[in-house]
Amino acid sequence: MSQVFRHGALRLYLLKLLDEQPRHGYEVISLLEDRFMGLYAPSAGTVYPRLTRLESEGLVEHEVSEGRKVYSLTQQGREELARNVDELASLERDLTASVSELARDVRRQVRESARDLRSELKQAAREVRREVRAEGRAQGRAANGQQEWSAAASDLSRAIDQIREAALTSARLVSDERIAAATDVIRRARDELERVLSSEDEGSP
Amino acid sequence: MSEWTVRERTVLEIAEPVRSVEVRVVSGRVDLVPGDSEGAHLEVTEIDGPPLRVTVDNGRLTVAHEDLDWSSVLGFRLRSRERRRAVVSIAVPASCDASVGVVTADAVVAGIEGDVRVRCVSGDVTLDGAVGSVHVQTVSGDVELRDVTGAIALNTVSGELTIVDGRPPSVQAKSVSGDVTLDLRPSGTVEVDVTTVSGDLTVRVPATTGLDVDVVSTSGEVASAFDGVELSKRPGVHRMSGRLGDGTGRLRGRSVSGRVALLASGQP
Repeated sequence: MSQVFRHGALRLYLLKLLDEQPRHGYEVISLLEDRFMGLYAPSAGTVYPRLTRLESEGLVEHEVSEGRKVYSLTQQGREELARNVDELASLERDLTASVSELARDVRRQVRESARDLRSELKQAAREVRREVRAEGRAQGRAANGQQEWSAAASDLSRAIDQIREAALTSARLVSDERIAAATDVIRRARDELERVLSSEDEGSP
Repeated sequence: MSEWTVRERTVLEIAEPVRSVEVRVVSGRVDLVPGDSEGAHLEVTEIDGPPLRVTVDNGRLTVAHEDLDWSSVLGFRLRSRERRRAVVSIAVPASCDASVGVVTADAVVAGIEGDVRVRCVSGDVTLDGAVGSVHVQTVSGDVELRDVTGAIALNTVSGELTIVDGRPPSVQAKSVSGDVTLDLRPSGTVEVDVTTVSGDLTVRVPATTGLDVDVVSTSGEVASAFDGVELSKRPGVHRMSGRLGDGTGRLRGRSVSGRVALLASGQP
């Protein structure tokens, strides 16, 4: 059996049990066993002489009920207990600090921090996924723009080819005024294109 | 060799020096914590069913049901209506190596500095402050590790694997459907290799970590908080790859449908 009780501690704990309510000897023994999860099982040979000694010190008294001695605390006993209230508290702390309790505490702490971590990282992962998706969409838009622009560019170069062909085949039949007018159309188209392209550069992010 | 048979709630003080400990229990709970003597302090606070045999042989402490051996733990079947429960708490010298085999029991191993192995079917496994190598296998039990500085190998079918505040030189984790969550603060170079089928993989490392990253999921989304990691997506291959910092560590991951997220900690 481990050294559960420090010197004088059993005496104090007996007073505490009898302060709660009057009890007979056997009840005291089984309560001691219960409170300490079976880790300390005091024998009748330990407890009864202690009760007798406490009685002779005037801290405990008994009356006989149904053939059994029922012990209770005297006023002096209650004063003795009150004087040692701090030691009693530290005794109860020691008793619960068994290996099993210690492990239970560790388990609770680790489980809590693991649960907190999981929910924190789950949230963070959700946010990162959202950002990545948003980026993907922006890239998709950029890719769309590129496609439209290359389609427009190939339309344009086709148009230029047609104009050039028309100009070559009809040049001798067309008056200087009409050539000047056609040149003017092309010049205006070029200026307009330049304007559209440069404004798009400024406008898009 | 010393030997005890435990049939009821008991406390045993074992004076003989203990250098390694092995515990095999069916259901209930097993706790291992560091003690302050070179021997062991054993508390059996609940026991129901056949007795536990406790032996110390040449520095090896064993607490076990005799018919439950290490290799049969994962396949152990309790006969119907058979009751076999024990809550066993042991304090051993911190330097001990430890093996814990449990079927449905939970296991807690705290502050043990030797190598730790845990095998378990459906119980939950909790490890705190391990310094030596850690090897945990479960079927459906969750595994939670905190403050571990030794090399880590975890294997589960459907349990969740979580590492809190890990500083291991290496992590190997395999899971079928359980999620894998790793929060690492490596003190040096770290090698991480994770495989899942449908479990999500979430890894957080400090923004300054040197890592060579290559993680692929067949159909799960991949996302990274690091600019140095490139994401690519083709049918059947969602990949993140790249170098973080000096790229000395390694992060490898494979998943079929699990989502993958690489997160940064310690950002200002």
